[in-house]
Order: sequence, then C-alpha cells, then structure tokens
Amino acid sequence: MKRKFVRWSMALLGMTSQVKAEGDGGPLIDALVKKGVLSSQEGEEIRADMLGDYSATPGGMLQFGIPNMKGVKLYGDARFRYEIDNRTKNVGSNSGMGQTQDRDRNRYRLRFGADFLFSDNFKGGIRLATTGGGDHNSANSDFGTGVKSSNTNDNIRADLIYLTYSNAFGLNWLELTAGRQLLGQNIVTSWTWDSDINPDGGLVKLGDFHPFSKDFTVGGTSGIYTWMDWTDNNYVNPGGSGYSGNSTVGGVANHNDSWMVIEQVDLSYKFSNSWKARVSPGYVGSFGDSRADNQSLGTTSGTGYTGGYTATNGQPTGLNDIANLDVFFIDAQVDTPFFLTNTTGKLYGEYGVNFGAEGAARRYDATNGIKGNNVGNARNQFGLVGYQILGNKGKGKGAWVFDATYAYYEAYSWSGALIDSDWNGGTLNGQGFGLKATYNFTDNISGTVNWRHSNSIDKNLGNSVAAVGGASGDFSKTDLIQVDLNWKF
Amino acid sequence: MKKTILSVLLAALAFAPSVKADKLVIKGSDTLGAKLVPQLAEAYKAKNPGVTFEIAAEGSTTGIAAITDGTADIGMSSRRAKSTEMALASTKGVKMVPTIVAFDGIAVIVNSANSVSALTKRQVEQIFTGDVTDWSAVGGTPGKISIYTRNTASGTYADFKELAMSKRDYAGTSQKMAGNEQIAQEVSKNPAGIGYVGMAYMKAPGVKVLSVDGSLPSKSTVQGHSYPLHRPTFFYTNGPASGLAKSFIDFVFSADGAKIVEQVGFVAAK
Repeated sequence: MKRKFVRWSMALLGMTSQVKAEGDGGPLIDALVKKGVLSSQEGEEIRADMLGDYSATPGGMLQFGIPNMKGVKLYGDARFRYEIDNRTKNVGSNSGMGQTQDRDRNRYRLRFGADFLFSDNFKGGIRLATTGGGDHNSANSDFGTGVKSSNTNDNIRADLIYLTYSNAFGLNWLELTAGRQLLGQNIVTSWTWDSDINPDGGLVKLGDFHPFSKDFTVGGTSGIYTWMDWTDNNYVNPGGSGYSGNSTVGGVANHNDSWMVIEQVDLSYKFSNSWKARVSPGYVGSFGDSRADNQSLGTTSGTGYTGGYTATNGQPTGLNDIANLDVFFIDAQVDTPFFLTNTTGKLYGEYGVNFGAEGAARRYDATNGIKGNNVGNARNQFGLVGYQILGNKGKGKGAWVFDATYAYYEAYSWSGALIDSDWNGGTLNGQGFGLKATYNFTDNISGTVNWRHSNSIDKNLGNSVAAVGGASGDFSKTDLIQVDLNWKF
Repeated sequence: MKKTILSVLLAALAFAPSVKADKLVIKGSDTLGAKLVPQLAEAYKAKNPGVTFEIAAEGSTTGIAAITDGTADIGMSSRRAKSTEMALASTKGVKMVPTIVAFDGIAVIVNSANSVSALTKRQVEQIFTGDVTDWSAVGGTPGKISIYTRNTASGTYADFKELAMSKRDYAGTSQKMAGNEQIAQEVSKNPAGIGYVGMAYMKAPGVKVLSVDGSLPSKSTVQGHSYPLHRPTFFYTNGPASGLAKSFIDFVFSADGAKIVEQVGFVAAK
C-alpha cells in the first residue's frame, strides 16, 4: 500500500519526467529513505518496480549489443542547397578556350552517424553520407530525378569508420585513431582541405602540454593517410617483362601504393577570456607511386620535359594521381573581441610553400602548358586570410556568423584533389574571395548564403593545372553562389 | 518398446532443469560469495540436513544474469541491477526482486607501510581516475601510485565508480583483480599500492584502511551513513523468494544469520 502511495505521489507532484529519465527515481527514493518515510528494503522494492515499468517502455528496452558499452550518441544533419555555378575558361586552355558554363541546380546532403563509447578508453564512430556519383570530395547529390527511375548519382557511402584509443597505454597525452576519420590537423578545411574529404589512415595525437603556464598549450599530430591503394597484380611471370613498379603487363598497370603524411605542431596561448591565439606550423608530404620524382614521365617518343627525364609507359593519370607535395605550411588563428556587444571575432590565415612544385610542373607539362626551368618553383605558394564574426557565439537560436576570406593558390602549390571543390571549380591557379553568412532560425535549423569568386593567376598554363590531381578545367573566372537550409538532429 | 521408453526418459532427465528442489544454486558477487554466503550456507545446512548448495562467486553481473537466464535460485549482487538488465529480464518474463541482505562499506586500503592514513573523497577520485599519480601529491612519500581495482563484472567496481569517482573512468594504469582477496594481497605486497575492498576483507594482513573525509568504515558509520562509501548488498530472485530460497533468506535475517553477517564484517540488514 505504501509503495503504491509513494509512486502515485511522485506522479502527482510531476516527478514522472525525472523518473522516466532515470528509470528508478533514485535520488527521490534515497531522500524518502533518509527521511525515514521508507525503509531501505521498501525503497529498493519501489526502485525495482519503477525500473521494471521503465524497462517495458521503448527507451527502457533499448539494449546495446555489448553489455559494457558505456554510451552511444546518434547524430545527423540534412541540407537542401540551391546553387549557381558559373565558370569561364582561360583563352589559353587547351580545350574549351574561353568557353563558359552557366549552371544552376538543386542539391541535397544527408549524413547520419553514431559515436560509441566503449570501456578502457576506446571510442569509435561510423557515419553514412550521401555522395553524388562516387565523388570523393562531395557529399552532395542532385535533386531533379523527379519520377525518373534511374539515377546513378543517388549514392550512400560510409564516410567515417574509425576507432580511437585515448589515454593510450595509460598516457593521458597520447591518443591514437585508425580508420576513415575526420582530418585531425588544423588545416583551414573549407578552402585548402575540402571538408567532405575524410582521409583513411592513422593519426597520432599528442598533448595537451602546458610547459610554462596553463595559458600556453602545446600539442601535435602526426598522420599517415592512404592516397591510393592500388590493386596489385600478382599474376605476373617473374621471368617475363613482369612486375617492376611502373611497368605494364598484359594491359594491367602495376603500381606501388601512394601515401601522404601530415605533421603538425599546435601552439596556442590564451591572453584573456576574449583574446586567444594559435599558430600551427606543419608539413604535408606525399610518397609512393606516381610522384614525378619517383618515376619516369611521358612516353619514349613523346614531348617530355627537356630537363633530362627519361620516359617509360604506364604513367597513371587522372584524379588518383598523387600530387607532388612537399608542403611546409603555417596555419594561424586569433580570437578577438568585436566592437558589437555579444559578438566575437576570429582572424585566421594560412600560408604554404610546396617544394615539390617543380616536379609537378615537369610531370604535367609534358604535353601541355609552359616548359622550361623553374616553372613549378615560380608557382608554388598558397595563402589565405579571413575574418569571421560570430553573434551570440555562433550557437543556438538567433546566433549568426559572417565570414570574409581572401584566397590565393598558385598552380603547383597544393593538390586539386584536396582543395575545396567549391573553390575555383575545384582547381588551383586561382585567386579571389568568399563571403558567407549563416543565421540560426532555431537551435537546429539554420540558413546559409555563400558567394565565392575567383580569377586565374596565370592565364596561359593550359591544361597542366587540370592534371595536378584536380578537376578538369583552367578557369579565368568562376562565381559560385549557394543558398542552404540546414538542420541538425 | 522398452528401449524407446528408456531413451525418452533419459533424454528428459538430460534436459531437466539443473536447479533441483533440495539444492540451492547461488551465483554472483565475490563480495558476498567469497566469505559471507558460504558461512551462512554451512550454518543453514547444519540446521537443514539434506540441503546442498552450489555457490559461484564471479561477480555481481554474473549473478543478475543467472537469475535472468534461470540458472540460479539466488543472484548475489553488491550493486543494483541496471535498467538494461531489468529490461532484458523483463523480455524473458523474469521479474527481478531485490532483497537487501546486508549493508557494506567499501574500504580504501593501502600498504601498511604507507605514511598516508587519510584522504578526502576528492583525493580518492583523483587517484583512481589517474588525475594524481604520485603519493607526494596527497602527502605521502614520493613514488608512483599503483592502483588495484576489481574487474568490470564486479558490483564493487561499479559501486566504487559511482560513490567515489563521480562516475568517471578508472585510470588506464589501474590493474584489474578478480576479487577482494586478490586486491588485498597485491596491496599488501606493494608499498605504493592502493585498492578497495568490502569491509569483510579490510583486516587482511599487510594492509591498512584509510579514512575518507574523516570517517573510517564501521558498523556505526555505515548504518549512520557518515562513511561516504556505504552501500546495500542484495539477493535477487525471480519474483518474491519462495521455497528453499525463501527459507534460506529467512535464515539470513534470523538471529543466527545476523550474527554470522556481523562476524564476517558486514552490517546486518535487519
């Protein structure tokens, strides 16, 4: 009788939401036991009854496959986008000189993921995302199939599959991650590294250390990522013309795998609650098959670079070519106050120099573009600077963000396969600006307007820049306008 | 025909429930099952000849699971059943009913040569989570702290995490032991060791008990709740206890049973 009375009383007093959240009304029952209203045994019986009732609800029936899993977080986001994408090719281009593209389309993106928290400092994550036609650096698919029955562009792929070991081996400054993961380094992702590209590989994260004061933080990351894992040809006659790196046998090209390393040190200092600065110097290097300085170029009787390279067949081509990257870069950000109340600002910038640029230029100007000494070294720098204003800290209903950026990417300074596909048609050899504004209608729904404009730096490089692992094209001008409606769940 | 009947009978016996009417199967908590329940069982058998016991103490989680899958009459547990365990039991038509069998305090123990004799609850959390790794940080002789804990099947492991660690994770360097006696043994051998055990195991040789927030675990501090790391311990049954299980539980609450509970080092529930 007393048990029923207590349970009804809790319901009448509006405590059911707490009971539902906790399942057994723990703290309330503890209080009643402490007050002497219930004996300890009565308290336990009521707890068990309430937990039993809760377990019959959908929330209570939720079970994990592994009993000791500590938690799961489900999350996702969806986006509708209207896009205008206009491009004009350089008159020096080897194809489509001076031609223009005027395109508009409606696009969508859907991502759904789960983060898992295991015992013993392990956590993992998976995420599925839409993709248009297998494009590795875009999670967007196009609307417009209507009632059409076939559309090869509506695909779903796994864009995150990773496992992380924190406090690895009992060291609270060491974290290891393996799998397809978010980029762990501080590279300004919306420009230099397309945010849809989640690399496959391993990351070691060190830090945070506070060597001089708690306001000064030092950390570092070291990542090794797959660029291309080629299908090896194992069925080669060892006595024949056979397998040897770049050779072709029976029409099948044999290649060694290609990799990329990214090393970075993060140094940050907190001057005050509103002033913080971070500087992150780093290095990006590519190695493996198809780097120009690791293989011969062109054809035995082709045009090739006159600087003394020999040539063989079997050079891989296309987006899968690993770029010649020996990039030393520095990434920086300063958080500042802003003169409007309840706003903050971020000044950010990035500068990089690619010491592998000359090899890239030699490789790709075999049939096109400019030949001669020092072609690459003269076009091996990139940089950007921008300022971002956040209203209401950029989070929650009513918050807003305004962002203005100037960017400059020379022809052989980086990789077109990594650069944001929404910048300069996804290619290098471009300079210009971007303006972006976001407003949160609710805590979960926001709208964004984005405009990016670019002009080419060199107008007569031909298609050589197209072959630097980027999309086909050499644009004198591009304008991209995107209007998004985003929601998170 | 006879062979067929015999085969059917043998098959029926082979698949008969393993729990027999004159045998009590008790599984679960090491805290209860290593000392207390075996001594209670011996005393009960002395009064009830013909009754046998099967006792397995491999952790509270195994005791709760055994009630759910019907392989035990009583599941011993030093922690409350989780909502996921209750849900699983419910899907199998099992109603988990708890009975508080005794109250206990979780004693924090160190090697008897350790100069530290008292810690705050915050310091206990800092040590066991790995925030503090050297004895000098808590007033002891400089040296790396060696942490000994129970394994994840243990109710004491879960209780200590909730009562002393604000539900934070154990330090990655902590070493997991199968039972209270093993923890006491390791701490007694390691001058830098620290661990936790139920009150029934805190008088092991070579260890000493630390006060937590100025209070040592004892019958009065556990009953009065002044010792911060106190907890009830349970027998779980499928529905209200009946038959042999009820008879045994009634014995635990009798004067003879309560005397054994107190002698072993627990606090009698009734």
